[in-house]
Amino acid sequence: MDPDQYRQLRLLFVEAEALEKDARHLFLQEVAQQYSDDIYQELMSLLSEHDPVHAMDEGSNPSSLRYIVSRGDPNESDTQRAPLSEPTLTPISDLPKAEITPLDPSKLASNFLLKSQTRKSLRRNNAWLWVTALLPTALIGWTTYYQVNSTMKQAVRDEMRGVSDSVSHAARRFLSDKSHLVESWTREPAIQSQILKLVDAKIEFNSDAPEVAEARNVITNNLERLSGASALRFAVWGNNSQLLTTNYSRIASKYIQRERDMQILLDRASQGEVVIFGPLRILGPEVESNDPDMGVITSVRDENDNVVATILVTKIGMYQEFSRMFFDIANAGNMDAYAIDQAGTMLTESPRAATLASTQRLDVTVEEIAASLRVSDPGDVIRGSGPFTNSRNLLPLTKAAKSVTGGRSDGEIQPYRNYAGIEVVGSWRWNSDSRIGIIVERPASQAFATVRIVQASFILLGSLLFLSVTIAAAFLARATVAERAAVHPLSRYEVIEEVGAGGMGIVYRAKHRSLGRETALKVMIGGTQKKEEQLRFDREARLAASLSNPHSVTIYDYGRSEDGESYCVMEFLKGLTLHEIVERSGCQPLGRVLFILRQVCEAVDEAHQKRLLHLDIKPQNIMLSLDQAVGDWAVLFDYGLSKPIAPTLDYYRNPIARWSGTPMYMAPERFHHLDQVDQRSDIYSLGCVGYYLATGATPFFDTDAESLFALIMNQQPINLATRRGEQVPREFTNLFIKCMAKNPNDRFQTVKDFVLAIETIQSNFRWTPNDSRAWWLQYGNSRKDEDIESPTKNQGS
Amino acid sequence: MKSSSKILGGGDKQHTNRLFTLMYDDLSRLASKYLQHEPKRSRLSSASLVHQAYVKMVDQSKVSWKGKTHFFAVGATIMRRILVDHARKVQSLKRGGDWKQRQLSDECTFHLNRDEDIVALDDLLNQLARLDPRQAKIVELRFFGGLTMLEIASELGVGLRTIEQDWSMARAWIRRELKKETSQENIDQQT
Repeated sequence: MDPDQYRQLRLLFVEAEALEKDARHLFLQEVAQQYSDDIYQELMSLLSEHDPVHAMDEGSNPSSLRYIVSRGDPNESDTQRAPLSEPTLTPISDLPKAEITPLDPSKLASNFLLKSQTRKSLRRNNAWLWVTALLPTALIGWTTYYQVNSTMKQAVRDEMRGVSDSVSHAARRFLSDKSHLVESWTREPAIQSQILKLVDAKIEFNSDAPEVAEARNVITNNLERLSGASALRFAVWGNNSQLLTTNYSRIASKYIQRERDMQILLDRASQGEVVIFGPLRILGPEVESNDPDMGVITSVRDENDNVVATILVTKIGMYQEFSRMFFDIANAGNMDAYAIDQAGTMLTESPRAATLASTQRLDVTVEEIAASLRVSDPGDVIRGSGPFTNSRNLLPLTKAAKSVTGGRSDGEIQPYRNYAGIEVVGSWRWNSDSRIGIIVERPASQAFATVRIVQASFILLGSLLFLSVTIAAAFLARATVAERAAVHPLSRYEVIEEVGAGGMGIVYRAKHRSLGRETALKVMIGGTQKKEEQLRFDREARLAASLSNPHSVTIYDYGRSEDGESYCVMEFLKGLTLHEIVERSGCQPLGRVLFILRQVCEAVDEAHQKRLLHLDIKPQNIMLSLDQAVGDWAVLFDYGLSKPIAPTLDYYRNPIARWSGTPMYMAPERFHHLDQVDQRSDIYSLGCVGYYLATGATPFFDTDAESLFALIMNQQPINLATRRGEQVPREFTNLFIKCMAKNPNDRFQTVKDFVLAIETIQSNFRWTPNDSRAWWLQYGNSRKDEDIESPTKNQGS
Repeated sequence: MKSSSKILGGGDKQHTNRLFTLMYDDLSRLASKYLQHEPKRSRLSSASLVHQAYVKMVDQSKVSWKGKTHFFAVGATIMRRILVDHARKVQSLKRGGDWKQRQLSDECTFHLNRDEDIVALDDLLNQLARLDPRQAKIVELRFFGGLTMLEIASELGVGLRTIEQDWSMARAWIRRELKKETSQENIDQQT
């Protein structure tokens, strides 16, 4: 056999099975003719094994398999076919309890409501405090801080600018003065005539030539006399830049000659400009001091006012004076100040640099600073001596150096690295006349020291404020809640455990602290502040409270707390819901069905008399327990959707009423005409409950809501007898047919009618207190477990 | 525990694997308590075990009727696997032991408290699955999970009538196969 054949077989089987005896016979004959012999044989053998009654029973009775089959030896197979609604089965409750994790009461704080309230209040108070106290303070704090910050930064900038300006001015004036001074010296006739003579002589530079020597001596003497400088040096060039005479050593003069920019300087001098020379380190054997040479180059004119030569005068103490200027200013202002040439070389000896060099925090020695240190950015703070010397020439200039050598006069308040890698702020000026730049710098940490202090204090203050606010909020919250709790009506109940959750609220088992009475406490799910929900809740409680029939649940208390939470305190029902009853033992004896229904009807009747409809009658809403005198004792609860028969203005119809009831037990008219409900809808539901009890299954079922509605509205429920697998007296069946008629007019018109009908036939369906006692013995929970293993979990669903 | 509720609450078939894993340990632990001891073994009902696991693992307030059915459906598959593994293990140890004559009663096709029955059922189900997987599934859900026809219909997403038809046919087929086997065994025994 393969799947296709099997499928074919299935079709035939299904068809044959649906036919009555004679029709089936005919059908099978046809099959024998039209199909292969194999198929026919298969079909026949299957049909012979098929027994619809037992198949149905084995297939749908929940009891036959949910329970422990203690039939022992199958050889003893029951020859008596006992009605399967009462098999000798061992109930679930006898299974080892260890497998079921009991709820631990100690885990749930009895004041849990209080705790959750505290948290809620806390959050709310916190939020308020945040907004009213913290926010404005924070805002003001922030603005103030910001102002102070920028003002301080401005102050730093201004200071730097001032210093650099003054340095620049001083430098400019100095250089200018010195230039003019030297120029005046060179105008000395003696010097002039000597030079002119040399120019006319047109001799090659020869230090031994008498004219050259003579000129040298004369010029030296004169210059020394005029300047007062004893170690004065000079050099004279002709127009073609060849050296005419000098009192530099040969080596030194060669050095000068070869100096890269010398040509440019001489050219400028030839144009008539007075050019500043140096500072420049001149290397030679006769170097007396470590200082570089600094001087002035000026032009020499003939009688026709043409420039015929240029003369350089150095070692006149210019460098020392120049450097001194920076030194003084630097110390006075607690800054670093130095001059820099167009190539980015530091010209004066920056006192800071000197200090750094001597403490090994610069990559050059002290002697190598002035006129040789390239002001480049080492990339990081220099620590100890490292092999930097070469790479310094390859590194880019510092920000300040780059800017100033580009001819800009500017400042930078945003920290940058200086020649030693230290973060500084600075200001610089470029002097275009002398082609010399002035840089003034100060370490950022120093400059912003004050700013940082202000910052720190603000942060400290801010955190203190935040902390105190949070603590205050916590205290406040707790105090408020404690206060409120004392007034809260629910504080007199000690909550033990949660037993269920329903559409609108949660149900707890609680105990009245003083009275000790065990109650069910239904609380509206927190947060549902909607008017509609609250109204429903109110209505439910009020209606239920007005009912006094013993088969309706008793309401003890009801109210709403300050926060708007509604609660309802009612009698705590112990026992099993009808749903559980059926789960445990399947379809019920007919007598029991009537017995229970009658009790429930009493409750419903009272409600109807008071013009109230329940509208949510279902097996989960009916609790059954064992009363020693009466036997089965049913209580109807959860009037969640109760609606008065004559709606008044404030009982406006709920938009969700349609879906709030469990669809399976809802009367068909409720689906299409919401306001055409009346007491007959309740009767319909009662019928469904009876059906459920009698068959162990809901009258209608389908997997999706739409189909379910369709079934409820159109289809007749499956016959009771079919479901039970046995004959059911017609009078019994008729009862339910009448209850569950699609058209309300075909049903019992009032509950009283229904009760009457039940009573009429009840004598044929006995159910005694002894019967119920026996059942409870077998299927109920034993006495001692009643407290812990709350079977009333369903009370709130 | 919460996660099972969430899975079931979602009703998403994709999460069946996760549910399976979650449940397997619990169920095998529960089952082993019965399977170890012979006297208890006869009282074992796989469906009740699944029910126990359900009560323990799931927050019932959060799970719909559909979710509960799904739980039991998965439980059925798991229980089958557990029981079959155990039964086969026992069988392999007891090879050539007592051979009890199996009688096919009208009411009860299988007694799940007997290892031989379990093995036989498993074998037949495997065969049936090759012919019609849905019918095999229905039988599995019925015997190992205790699901009613309604619940099976919901779980498989098929109409109730279809399920009932499938069930009738599958049951008939199984019974027929068993009869064949029994008579075969009879013959073997005699030779």
